[in-house]
Amino acid sequence: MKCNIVLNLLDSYADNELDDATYLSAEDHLKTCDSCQTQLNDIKQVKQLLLNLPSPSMNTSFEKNLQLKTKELKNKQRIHWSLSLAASIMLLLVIGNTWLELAPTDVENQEYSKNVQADPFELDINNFLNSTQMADITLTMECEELSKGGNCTFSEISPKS
Amino acid sequence: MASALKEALLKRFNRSSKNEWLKQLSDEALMKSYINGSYHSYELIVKRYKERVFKFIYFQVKQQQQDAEDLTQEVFIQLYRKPNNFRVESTFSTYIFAIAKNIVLNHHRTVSRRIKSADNSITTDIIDEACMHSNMVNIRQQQAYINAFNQLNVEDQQIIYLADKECFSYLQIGSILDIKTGTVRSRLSAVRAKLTNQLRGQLNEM
Repeated sequence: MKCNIVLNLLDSYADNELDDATYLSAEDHLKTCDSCQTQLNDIKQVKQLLLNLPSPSMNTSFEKNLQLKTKELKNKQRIHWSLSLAASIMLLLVIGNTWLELAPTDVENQEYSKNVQADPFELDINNFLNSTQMADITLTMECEELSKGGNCTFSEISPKS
Repeated sequence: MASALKEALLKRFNRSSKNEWLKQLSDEALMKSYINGSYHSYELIVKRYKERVFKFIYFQVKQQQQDAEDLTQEVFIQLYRKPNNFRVESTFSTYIFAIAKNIVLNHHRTVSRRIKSADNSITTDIIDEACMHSNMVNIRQQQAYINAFNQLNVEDQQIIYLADKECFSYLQIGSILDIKTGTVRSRLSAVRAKLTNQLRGQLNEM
């Protein structure tokens, strides 16, 4: 293995990131090449310095403070959920109330169902009769063999007595 | 009365044996347990990782202990609030360091000016502590190293710390920093070369 190749591999070599075959080839080269060995030593020194660098311990109250913070968050979440729930209930009530106000009453519903179920012919006649009564007239009507498709004819319209 | 006492003792025994059992679980299993509602599992995770996360952050905020503790708290708060972000197939250690990395980067984006103003008061505490542990040559080297380290940008500090202090593999570092393994290799090489040059320059000045 040549110097330029080994120099590119030095960090991976120091970090033990090479496969076995490449590691052994690089190792063989390093045994005989002072220049590459010096470079490797620099890398190792930099690694070692950070590894041995002291750092202070944490404040002993860290976990307690964190516990307080998480409890606070939990309470906030509860309040948030309660408020959301209350808002949803309020919204449902408002929607329900509006619907009740706009929806037809029972009497209107009955009228509607009756109209829907009524025979169209009977409906027209009834309406006509009502209107004629309102106009103070009497209607006489004759129907011929309705079952065979016959029609009804108005034979006489006279003022009500 | 006796049965009530017996029941209370049994309950206590069950709780403590459950806690003992939890302590033996892997990080990933603890996370699963926390997701299923066990706050004690969360506490155990905090216990296991707080120092490592703190030190990782500490070296990226110019050794400001209070900042490091506040940011460490933020890391664990995020873990507390969004445990479901953790994918069971990934390793927990890389996951928690990825959270820490992002929180530090955000911190630097928002308060970079404050950090810069604190630049000169960096090394006293750490070197005082170092005096108790090392000889004078090492102290000089450590001081030079901290100065050189603090001159790196945050991304470089993160990659070098994860490799040289935490000894994560390139694959793990790639997962934490969200970069390819090849990029980890080349960046580490560049950062170490930078550190070596700065160290040499500083040691010659001393």
